[in-house]
Amino acid sequence: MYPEYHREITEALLMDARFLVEGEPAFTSLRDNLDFYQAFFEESFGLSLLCQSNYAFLQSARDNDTLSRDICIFLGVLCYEMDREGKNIMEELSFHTFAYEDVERLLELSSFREVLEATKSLRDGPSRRNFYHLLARRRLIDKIDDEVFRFTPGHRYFLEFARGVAQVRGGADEEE
Amino acid sequence: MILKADPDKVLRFMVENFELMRTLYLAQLSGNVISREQFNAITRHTGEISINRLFEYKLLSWQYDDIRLNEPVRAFLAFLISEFKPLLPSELEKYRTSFSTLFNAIRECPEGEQPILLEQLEALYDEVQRFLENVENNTGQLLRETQQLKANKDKMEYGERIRRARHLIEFYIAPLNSILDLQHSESIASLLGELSAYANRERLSHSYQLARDRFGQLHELLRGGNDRILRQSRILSRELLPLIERLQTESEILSGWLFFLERPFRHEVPSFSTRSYRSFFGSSTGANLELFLEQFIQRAEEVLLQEEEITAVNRHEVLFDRREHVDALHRQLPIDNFFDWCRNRLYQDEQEHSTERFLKICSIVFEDSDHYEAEFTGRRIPIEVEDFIFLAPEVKVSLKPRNEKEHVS
Repeated sequence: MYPEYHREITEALLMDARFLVEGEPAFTSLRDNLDFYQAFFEESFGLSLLCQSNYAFLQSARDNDTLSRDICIFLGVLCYEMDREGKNIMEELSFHTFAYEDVERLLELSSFREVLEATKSLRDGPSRRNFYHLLARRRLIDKIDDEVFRFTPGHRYFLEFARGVAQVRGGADEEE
Repeated sequence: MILKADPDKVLRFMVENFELMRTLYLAQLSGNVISREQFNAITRHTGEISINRLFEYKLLSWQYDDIRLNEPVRAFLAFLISEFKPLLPSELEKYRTSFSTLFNAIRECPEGEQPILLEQLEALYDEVQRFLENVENNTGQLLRETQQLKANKDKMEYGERIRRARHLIEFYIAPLNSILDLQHSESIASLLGELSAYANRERLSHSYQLARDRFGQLHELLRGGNDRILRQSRILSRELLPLIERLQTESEILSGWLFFLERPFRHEVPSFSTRSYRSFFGSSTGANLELFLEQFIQRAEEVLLQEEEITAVNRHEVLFDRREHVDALHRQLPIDNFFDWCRNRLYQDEQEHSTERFLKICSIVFEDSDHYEAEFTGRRIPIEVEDFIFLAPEVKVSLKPRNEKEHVS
């Protein structure tokens, strides 16, 4: 009656509120039955399902989500620092692994330190440790071992957000 | 003509002073000419004899107040160093004119004018060769420029990088792509295709042997050229364009983050997932609950068994004389229809005709089920109490023989 991996899909998306990403069998099943799941989540819970080519999640109706803001600050500062070091940010985020130690070093020396300190979950090393655990639970990162992690395709959602901001602001600047 | 030295001596001089030649070449590449001041700075540590030889060997020449490498020397150095200025596509466009002119001349060459035909064929061959080399150099240079832009070694601002990327696409890459587009009838590549087809026919059918040979050579070159053009076109469309597109995307992402980080706590954020604890109360909960409750309505006897606890708990509040009912039961045993007997007890001996009281009367048998024997006939009888209709089973109840004694004693 229900598609394969139905339980995994609903548990991941609804109860864990995490990304389903390419490579998970549940993601494949979700994509194969996209119309059903879009209707299922919309009619049962009033939530809209966002499914891109390699990630999916349920969008909450909240417009001021602390976690989302923290992720934006974290990724924004990380991208800025990687670019400053001459790294290719999209390639790094998509294909490379990150050592916590290196990320910590980048954040500690960042010129956006003030912003980080004003953000509860990012203000110091121990807070950030918890934050990384949270990111792993939401499947924005995959922990490879205690020292290294990599980003899942879910990070692209936030990069697209940044791109959108630039396009809106760029357009506004041109109009001025 | 170089009067003051043999060609090999000039080459040796170039070898011995190659770093100087490279510096001069790069200076001219970036500024188009080498100014006197630049020249003086570059040759600060060079002896006067060598400086003079640069001019005597015609490697350099004056152009008003500036200095330039002579064109064949510049081209030679460009070839050696592999560093060029990309040609503007309009510079490549000139080949279209020369190809068409030579092509027309060859097609219209009168019979018997073999010498000029051969010369035209040679000229066309050289021109095609030059065009292909230029295209390859150009693509290579554009690829390098794009990669440099991507690595951002010059630490350019994002806006500047995007502007530079757009400039490369608009003025170099897109036009070059259309020159090399074999699908487009107006492209130089398709003109070369036409030339190739013509040469292919003539190499077999031309009446003059030498002309057939030249057409054969030209055809070979064009056939190979087709592959070379395809390769370049593929580099352009598969590597350069996506590379630049990605660079632009990346710059947009960075600018976006910078805009966001200007006011990170007031800027809107994308809506993300929230953990949902409502999942147990979905749209199906109502139906499930109904189903759950239905079992109690349909299975009256099970409710009876559960009533026991309530009876025990509420014993002090309910004035229910259990003993009296048990005694009555014993007096009348065996009973053919137990629930019907219960109903009669309720209406005859109780003042309160409630469901609860009814269930309490029913419970007397089930509480001491060890003492009684029950036999279900399989029929059901409706029993109406208050607003409920119990579909109770028809049960015959009698005392268990072995317990009868105990009970009496």
